[in-house]
Amino acid sequence: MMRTKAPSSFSQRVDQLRRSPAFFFKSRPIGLEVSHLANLKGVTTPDHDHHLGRIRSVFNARRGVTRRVLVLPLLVLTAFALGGCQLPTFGGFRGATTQAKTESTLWSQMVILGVGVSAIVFVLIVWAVFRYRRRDENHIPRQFSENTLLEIVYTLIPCVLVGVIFYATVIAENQIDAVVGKPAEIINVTAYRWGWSFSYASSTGVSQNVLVQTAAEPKALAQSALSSEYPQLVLPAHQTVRIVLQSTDVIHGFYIPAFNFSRYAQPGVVNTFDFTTLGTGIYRGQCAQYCGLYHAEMLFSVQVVPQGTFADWLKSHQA
Amino acid sequence: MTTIEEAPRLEETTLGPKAGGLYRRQNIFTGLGFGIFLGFVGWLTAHAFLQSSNWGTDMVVTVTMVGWVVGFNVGVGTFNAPIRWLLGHDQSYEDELYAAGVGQGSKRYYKFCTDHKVVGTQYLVLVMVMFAIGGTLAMMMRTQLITSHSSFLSPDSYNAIVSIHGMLMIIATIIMVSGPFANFIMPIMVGAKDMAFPRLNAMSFWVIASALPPMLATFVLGGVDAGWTTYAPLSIQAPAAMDAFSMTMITFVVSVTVSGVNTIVTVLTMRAKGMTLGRLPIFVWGSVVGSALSIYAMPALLLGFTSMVSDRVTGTSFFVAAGGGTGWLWENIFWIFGHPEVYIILIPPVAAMMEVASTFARKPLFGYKITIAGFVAVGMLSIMVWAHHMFTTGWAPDLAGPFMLTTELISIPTGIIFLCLIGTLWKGRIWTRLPMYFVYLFLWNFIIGGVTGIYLSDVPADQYFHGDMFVTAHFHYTLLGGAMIAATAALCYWFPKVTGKMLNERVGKVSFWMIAIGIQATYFGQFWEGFQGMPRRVAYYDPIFLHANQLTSVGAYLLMAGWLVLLYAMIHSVRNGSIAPANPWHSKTLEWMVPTPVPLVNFLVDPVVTSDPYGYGEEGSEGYVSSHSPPARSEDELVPLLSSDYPISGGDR
Ligand SMILES: [Cu+2]
Ligand SMILES: [Cu+2]
Repeated sequence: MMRTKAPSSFSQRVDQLRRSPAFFFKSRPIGLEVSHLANLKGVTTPDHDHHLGRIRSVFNARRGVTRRVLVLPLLVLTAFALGGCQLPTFGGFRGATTQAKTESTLWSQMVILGVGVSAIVFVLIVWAVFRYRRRDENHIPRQFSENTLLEIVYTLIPCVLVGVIFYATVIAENQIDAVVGKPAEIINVTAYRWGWSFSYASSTGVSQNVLVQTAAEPKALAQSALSSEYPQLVLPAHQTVRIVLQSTDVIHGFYIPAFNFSRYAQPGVVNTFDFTTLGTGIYRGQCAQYCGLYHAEMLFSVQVVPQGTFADWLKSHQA
Repeated sequence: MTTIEEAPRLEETTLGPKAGGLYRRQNIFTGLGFGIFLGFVGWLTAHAFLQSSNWGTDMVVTVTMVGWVVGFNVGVGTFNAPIRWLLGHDQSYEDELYAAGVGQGSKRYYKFCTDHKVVGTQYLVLVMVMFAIGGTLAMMMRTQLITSHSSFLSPDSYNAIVSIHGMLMIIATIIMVSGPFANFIMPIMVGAKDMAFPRLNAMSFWVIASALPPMLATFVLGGVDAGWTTYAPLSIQAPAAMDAFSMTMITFVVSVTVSGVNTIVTVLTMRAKGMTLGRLPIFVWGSVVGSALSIYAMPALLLGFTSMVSDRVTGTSFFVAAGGGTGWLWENIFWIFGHPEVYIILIPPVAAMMEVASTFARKPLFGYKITIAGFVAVGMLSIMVWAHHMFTTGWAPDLAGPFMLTTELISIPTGIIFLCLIGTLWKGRIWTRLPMYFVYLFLWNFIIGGVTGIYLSDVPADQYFHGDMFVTAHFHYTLLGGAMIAATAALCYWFPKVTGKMLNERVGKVSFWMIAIGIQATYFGQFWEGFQGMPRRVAYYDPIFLHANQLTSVGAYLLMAGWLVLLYAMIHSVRNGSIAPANPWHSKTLEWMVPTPVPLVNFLVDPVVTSDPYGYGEEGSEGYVSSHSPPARSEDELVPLLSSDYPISGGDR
């Protein structure tokens, strides 16, 4: 797992990532140093099905015991997963990208698991509170202080649960993190105090640069991120776009709740990731990492528009 | 039963007029005076000689704060003994007695006093002052957020309040049990006459007391405009308040390290005869694990903040990307401290609460050994999880999996401890007094805090919730709903021993219900905001979050009111409460075997321990302490300690 030598080029690094044990996340290469940015185009990374297969094989290769222990809870989870879209989201977002949908399903499964376990523990507590309260002052309870079997059992159960959650998460995260070889669009997002600029560098060199008036009284600004006062990130529907995220001053957080996603924009660091959009829509976006005076006003909106509209929009914004 | 001669009650000794030397003239006010003086000297010096250079205001503030901290501690007497020793004059026996507070009545609470019970009480008051300030700041935040674009606070003062509320509460919760109770109660529990290093003990208190004013001074120095995590490079650019803040943190590290070492050495070397490690009450174990963790974690904080000061004052660039540094470095250093810190906060109160559970269930702690193993495992794992705070930063993506795994693994020992707590209540005879109410509240809150913690350890979910109100709700459930409520259970439990008065339970229960309901309303509101995607640390928000925020604010007011009612109950009980018997809960641990108020050397007769600490009513058992049991206040109270046919009726005194 340890790297023996520092990768000298980006493609070497990707290679190394590919070789690192698949038991843990095979993440896409986020957080490269700036100097690697130039090499970004044309990088090919294995698609996520490939990752999945590898991880499964790692699990299969492990002892049958592990598998058997995992199978039952997994079956339950899979049953939920098959009904994927039908799971309640428990207040969360359904997800407006492919990646977000994966997150949403995982989230729903974990909530079901968590609520289930909590409910059992809660019943135990309530039972203890009411059943064992003092009724007779002179009654001395039996002075037991151990039960080895019980202790082993309640050590093993959480181990199994952790195993299940971890396994499910590795699969989900690999899907979320997977990057495609050729995104439809590469968008450079730059965060600064206090605003965002989006430039569509890859195809047409469109640069959209909308400033939040830092000197303005915040109350003078609109109250919703969806307002046209704030920068707008326009994305084509049903396409995979790549975001290349940077910051010019302090750390910001690029956060789109409906995409179930946030990532730091940090000086000296370039973070890249893909969104695969679904249908059209307009979503709130906001800085999620405290960045100073007008942090609360560092809003933007995300507009997912039909591909034709997107092409027209690009044309109209061409410099 | 052999008669044993009692040790003389030292507090009744009359000391010579010169005993104590300089200590005779020193108290908190000389500390304040000399601190302000030396701070002023520092300011003047820095102004005259250094401000013309590039170093500017940051240097001036730093030197002033160093002057204040050193001056305050010199003035209050922290360094008296070592300085005298350096000058060739050792402290005489009478000097030591004077320093321990002999013959000074209630004045000793305002002085550098080496008696661990005085230090514990001082800590208790300090912690309450800190909670009062932190709570007031929280109320201001909640008032700002009651409408979406309120003009109650300007964004910069709101941001400064957010930062100080955060770090002040973190410091207060770190010391809320290891300060008052690990000092007052823990040495008695192990059968010691005092802490191993009484002077260091007093030092740990006065050093942390001197750290508070610089923290409050940040409000007039431009405000800490960086959040409690003070992420670089934002914190490097922040106003001069950040220098005072760094000085607070550095001073705080000194205090916690000193007190951590003291706790561990006390437990290792000061135990009474027969008090084997396997007979230590669980709270002692919790204190040791907490202290060991803080000795591990605090150096990282020290390193971080000294580098921070260096970046700000002298122009180094550890954390500045443009100068070859990186913000990732700060994030790593901060969380290498910051995650163990969660368990430094959590373990001692939980351990204290297990004493409460065992006492009121009249049953031994369930799974004593596995609980200790659980504490140790939690401690060990907690030093290997820090990067779960960095899942969304882009740092080391290959490590996201391993860090997620270690984080999830923590839930296993935590779950074991939790189940041992339930096992202790199971089939018990639970005497539902006020401390037990808080134990129940802990159990409820900690389920929610724990489960949401697992969600946050999960990388995809974390990318959804990182930086939004869900996180805020989660850690308030664990630190306020968990640790602080556990500490409150401990406070209500040990209140009679510490103050000598019984806590008014009727008022206490009113406060309990206000706190319990207040917590649920406040933090369910914040979970709701989190689901909708409202970021943390914002002075304004989209009106779609309005209802959730109003619920949160109303809940927070109720919560604060609940704490105030509890404070009232405590003050009222100290003034007018009924006198507490030495052992009102019929507990078996040693602190309840000594009279109330506790004599200077705790034990007038050396205790000899003959069994485990939780032998409630075992037929024919000798009990915890042998026939050399120290005398309690009256003959009548002695009986239950010495005979085996305990428990007796009429416990509800
Ligand atoms: Cu921000
Ligand atoms: Cu953590």
